[in-house]
Amino acid sequence: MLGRLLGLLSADMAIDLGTANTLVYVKGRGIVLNEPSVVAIADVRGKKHLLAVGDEAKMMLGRTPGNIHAIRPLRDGVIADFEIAEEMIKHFIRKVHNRRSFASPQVIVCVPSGSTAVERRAIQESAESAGARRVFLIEEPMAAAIGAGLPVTEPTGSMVVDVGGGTTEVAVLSLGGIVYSRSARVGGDKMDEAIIAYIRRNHNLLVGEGSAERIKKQIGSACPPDGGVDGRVIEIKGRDLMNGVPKELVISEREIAESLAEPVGAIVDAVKVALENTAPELAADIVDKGIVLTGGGALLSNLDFVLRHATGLPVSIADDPLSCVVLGTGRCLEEMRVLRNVLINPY
Amino acid sequence: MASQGPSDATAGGVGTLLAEERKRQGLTLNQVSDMLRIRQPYLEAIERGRIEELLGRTYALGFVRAYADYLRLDVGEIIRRFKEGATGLDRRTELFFPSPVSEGRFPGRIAIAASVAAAVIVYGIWHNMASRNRSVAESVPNVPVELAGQGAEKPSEDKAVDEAKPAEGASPEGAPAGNATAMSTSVPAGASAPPLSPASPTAVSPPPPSMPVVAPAVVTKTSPAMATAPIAPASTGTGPVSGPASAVPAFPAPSPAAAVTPSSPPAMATPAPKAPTPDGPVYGAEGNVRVVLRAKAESWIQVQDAKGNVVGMRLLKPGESFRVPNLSGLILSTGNAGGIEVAVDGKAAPALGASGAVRKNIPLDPEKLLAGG
Repeated sequence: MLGRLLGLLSADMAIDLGTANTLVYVKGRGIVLNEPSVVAIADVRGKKHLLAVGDEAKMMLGRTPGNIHAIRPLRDGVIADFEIAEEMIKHFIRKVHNRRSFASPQVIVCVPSGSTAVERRAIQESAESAGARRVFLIEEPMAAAIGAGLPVTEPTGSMVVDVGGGTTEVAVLSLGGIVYSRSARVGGDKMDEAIIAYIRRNHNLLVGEGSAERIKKQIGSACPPDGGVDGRVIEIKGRDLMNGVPKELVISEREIAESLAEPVGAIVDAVKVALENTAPELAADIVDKGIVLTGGGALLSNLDFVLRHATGLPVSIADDPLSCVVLGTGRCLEEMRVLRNVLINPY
Repeated sequence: MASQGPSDATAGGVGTLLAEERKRQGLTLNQVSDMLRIRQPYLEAIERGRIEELLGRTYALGFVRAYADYLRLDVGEIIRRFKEGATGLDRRTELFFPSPVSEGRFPGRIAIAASVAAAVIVYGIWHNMASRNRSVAESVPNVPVELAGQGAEKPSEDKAVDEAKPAEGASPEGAPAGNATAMSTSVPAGASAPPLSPASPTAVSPPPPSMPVVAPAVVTKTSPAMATAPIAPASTGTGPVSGPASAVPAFPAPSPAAAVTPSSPPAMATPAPKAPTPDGPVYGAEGNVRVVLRAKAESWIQVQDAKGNVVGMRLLKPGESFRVPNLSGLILSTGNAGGIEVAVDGKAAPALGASGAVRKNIPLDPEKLLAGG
């Protein structure tokens, strides 16, 4: 009874605490926040102060003076810097929770299916310290499947591959539960790193994370173009490692596809392993329906093509793949009574 | 297309567009199916607009997106048109989680509510029926001695009780209520009888049932003169009382004359110094009764058997009698020992105690009673 009353006074929210972006869904209002998971901290006379969070902080990434640090508190899908992550969550909750004076919100936070108990505890305590009244956790593949609109509660197998910033979650779901899941610590960040490494190795040019991400979004592809052509090209800017001066060069889609071969191969391997561990009846269902791709990685060009040819299964990209996880979490928030079973209650 | 499904228009013409583009590129459905790994029936369903044959909204959109991308069409536009036209697709997948069968010991709320309602209804019916069967006379308890004075303040209620009791007491014994009044008139006649005659053996014996009402009442040990004399006035005064009612007044009418010692001359049998107690209804079962308790003042009595079971319990009013069942081990408790006269086989036994004395556990053994015990 008291919980319901507090629920009326607070804006309960679902948070997709991603490595790259944090999305917040407020009950009854939908997605109200989508900002990079970046925090800028200023060091003033030995004391740390929060300078900026989200888009503003991301603009500072790699461009900060000595007393300012632009930090990404999450790595590989889990919290790497507990204090900074807490400050970031607190900032987002305050930003969307207009009625914080009445009651603290109830919060559902996504966690990678492969996260350890310690990592989950860290996320829960961060949310509690940030002002959450009660914290529930939900595994990302389940949230992604619900958000993508898969019939996860029916007695039929569904396979979802959520390629996030830090992790790739592969899961087979049926009857409202995860039958098999596998979390590979490869995602958008690893692709960025692969692009940086490729350009440095092949062109002696050092580019930043932001540039690498921009390259990935513009001409990134999971496989080289057909016919031996170079495909799309893009100008990139960085620092020449040979003479130390800024330099600009043109790089092609084929080169980027080559650079991404390793992380894409890791994703394909994770999917294959998951299929190998899928029960025959569920595998038969998946043959018909195929794999559904969610997450920002699903937007990588030709990733569906690569997976299709690697697995021999139809591969579909979900509608609005970037928001699937937070939409699924938000649906759990909206339909808490029905979907309570999929939530992890840490209390 | 050879055949356009009726719902093709609802799919925004996407199926037709995809089919025409496929044919323009010289591809067959089989080739597209091999390339996209999507089963051919699903591709046909998309082209013919049979959206309901697809595997739900998510997969339908995914297949259309893949198909359009393979044909190098504008995927965003195709998807937009498909979403607008595909009314057969649910906007949202309904999720119903299978819930385990409850193994709790407690039934559901509905079962509990139904049980409570049924219990209330049953109780209501029982209460209603029980209330109907209850008579007014039974519902009025006997007034204790201590409250007799208060009872006098409510004559209307006492009257109602008095009227009900004779009827109640008489009915099992076969004596009509009218007999009580007849007997009460006969007692003064007996009491004002001529001098007593000596006792005769026949007069001492219990009276036959057909005897007139007052006849045995005047036969006392101390008034031998009344053995024969009172019969006439009694019979003339009350008339014969037939049936069991004739045995009712077997209790001796306590007249001052009868209580006088045998040495009293007959001439001394003047009218009683005070009005004798009129006979009232007699309680207790008929049969081989040896002990009769008669109240000359309002007295509460309780007769229990050897096991402590209450055989009878009443508030005897003056003139009322109680026939003690002929059982061994009976015990009498009374709240007014002096207000009770005990007759054993028609003979008056010594008084049980002083007026107003409370006595308990008085054995109702005829011999002990006669011995004063």
